Amino acid sequence: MRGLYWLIRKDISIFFSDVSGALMTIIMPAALALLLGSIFQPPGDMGPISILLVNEDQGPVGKAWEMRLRERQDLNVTVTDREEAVSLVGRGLAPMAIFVPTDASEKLSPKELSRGTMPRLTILEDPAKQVEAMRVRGVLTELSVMVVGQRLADPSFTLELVQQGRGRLSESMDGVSPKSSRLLGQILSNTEELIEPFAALPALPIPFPKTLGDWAIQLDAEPFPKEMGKQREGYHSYSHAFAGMVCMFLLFFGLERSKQELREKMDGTHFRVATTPVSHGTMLLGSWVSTSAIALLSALITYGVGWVTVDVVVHGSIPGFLCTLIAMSWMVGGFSLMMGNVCQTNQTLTSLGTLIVLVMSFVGGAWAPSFVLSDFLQTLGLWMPTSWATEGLAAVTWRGLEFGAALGPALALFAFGSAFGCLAWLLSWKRSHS
Amino acid sequence: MFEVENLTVYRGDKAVVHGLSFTVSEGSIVGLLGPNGAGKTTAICGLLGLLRSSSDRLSLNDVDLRDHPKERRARLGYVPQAVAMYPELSVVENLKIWGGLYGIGDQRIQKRVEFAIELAGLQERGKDRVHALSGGMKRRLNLAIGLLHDPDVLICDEPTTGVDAESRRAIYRALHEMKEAGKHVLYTTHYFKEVEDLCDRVVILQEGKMVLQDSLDALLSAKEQGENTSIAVQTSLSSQELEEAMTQAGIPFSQTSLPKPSLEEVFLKVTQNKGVEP
Repeated sequence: MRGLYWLIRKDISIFFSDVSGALMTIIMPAALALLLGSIFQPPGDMGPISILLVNEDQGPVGKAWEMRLRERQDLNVTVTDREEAVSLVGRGLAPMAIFVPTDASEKLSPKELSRGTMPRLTILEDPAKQVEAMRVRGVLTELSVMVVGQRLADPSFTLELVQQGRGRLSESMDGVSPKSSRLLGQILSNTEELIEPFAALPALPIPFPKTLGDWAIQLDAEPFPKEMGKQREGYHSYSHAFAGMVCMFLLFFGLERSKQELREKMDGTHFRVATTPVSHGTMLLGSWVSTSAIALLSALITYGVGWVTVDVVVHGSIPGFLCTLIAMSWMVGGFSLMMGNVCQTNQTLTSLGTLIVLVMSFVGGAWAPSFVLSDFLQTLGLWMPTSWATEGLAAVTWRGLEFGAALGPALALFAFGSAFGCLAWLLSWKRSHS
Repeated sequence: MFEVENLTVYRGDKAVVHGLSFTVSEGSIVGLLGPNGAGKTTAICGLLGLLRSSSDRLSLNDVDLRDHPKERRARLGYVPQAVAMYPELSVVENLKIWGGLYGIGDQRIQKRVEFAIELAGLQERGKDRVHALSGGMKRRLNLAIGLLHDPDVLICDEPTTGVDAESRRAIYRALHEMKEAGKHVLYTTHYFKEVEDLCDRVVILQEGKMVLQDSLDALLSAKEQGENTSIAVQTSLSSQELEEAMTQAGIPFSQTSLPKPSLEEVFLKVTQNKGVEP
């Protein structure tokens, strides 16, 4: 055990002998996490999107569109003309322009609707601002229901629509049995009788909503039950970014430790250690444990930076958080050992190691949240330790879950680390006996 | 007495050193010579237990070391050809770490570190990082690390390669002190002069086999019955004039001496001129 202690002390001393290098191991992941966290901030944290509205319809539908768009808190609407809108979007100064055509009200008339004509809007998008455009499209879909609903809430409009429908019934009954055709005619006739008195009234006699559009389904946030998490404030992009970047940079740190191991093999230091009473297994274990210990320390300090700067907080289980970090560090130690034994030259280690770390980081969702990846990549990500690390850390940070949620990812990371370490031991043993 | 008998060392399944036998007495230095590829390093690896080996005997003062790898490593010291230490760390940190790896206890380590620093002549440089030391200083420290745990047997693999005269003298001095302290030293080098200056016995390896083993004195006097004799006379005469004068005068030769062959000559002869580097 004393040999193990001195091997670990040696590696930690070497790590801290380069103070600037040690600082970079902590600062780099924090800096990149801050950048990525700001990029992947959830929409709720973003300001209103500026859009242009070209309203060419002077009828009720054009007015309804303009009113509904202006009511939105997440949109900043500027009404302009067609020429200027095209120019601004074309030059990238506005993400999107919405055109309400001159015949919008006409197309939303009972006559046109009974013919099955679809009312249309046209939109002009800046190809470089697809994210904003997608959000605006969602808003437009929601507002469409409201605008159409507003028209249908007018009893005289609905009455005319039913009357138009009755008139066209005979034109569209091909293939329908006479009995069904007769029943449908009766339904429309009854509906007409029902609505007719309301259409004649100046105001509706019952507390109808102002428009039928307000009956559109309202989406409210359902709070998670307390047992699901202590404090849950929604997706926290910085928490995800810190998890991903800590994991990726620890893997890069693992590669640096592999290089140190390789250098010690090449300059004879490793050979000399082998002549001491320290066993071969202890040498490997020492390297593994020291790499893990430094990785754990770096991760804790980096998370500390995240806590101070952008409120990366462990809302869930603190033991679960520590357990995940320890398992992740163990995995990094095993990875370092494996790479140092798989690669026999510094050049191979650098190129192959960088490729592996980048692929694991990207596919494992360390760079971008895994939900933006394809299904295939998400499935592939399950075979990447980075995926388990980011999921485990997400569970106990922004998701605010209990220890049990971190246990699975921690066990997976532990298994990955152990597999890496065993492979390293096998290669090393084989080499020392050849 | 450090005794090695019929040592065979393998790399994989192939025997690279065959049947090497020698002894190193207490307080003596044995030189291990051989051309490049002769198997010197492999033999050292076998002795240190880093490669699979077999032997009829590998003992130190009648204690069998074969079945006790930890004991073997604790009692053998090794000074590699390369400067094998941690350049990022200070001299003292290096010595403490190596001392720890050799199993020196906390009570003893400070004294051994002081001893090693004095041995290496680095009293003023203890806090300096190793990469800031000169080549000679590093070599001296390299030797000091090998002696840190006070081994009974010291195996030196060309410890003076590329050092200046001062450091070389310091290393020689340290080895002589080891010898005087009754330690056993096995020494490989490229420099024949070093063997002549330091060693008591010489073992010559070639193609993994021992081709010669004898005391240095015996090797260097082996040519006394040879063909190269000379007469040393202090005179201003030319050699021909001297010969004629001595013959004519019937002067008996009162003082004759035989030049000692150099070790290099002996080496080249036994290795059949196959190489000049041990």
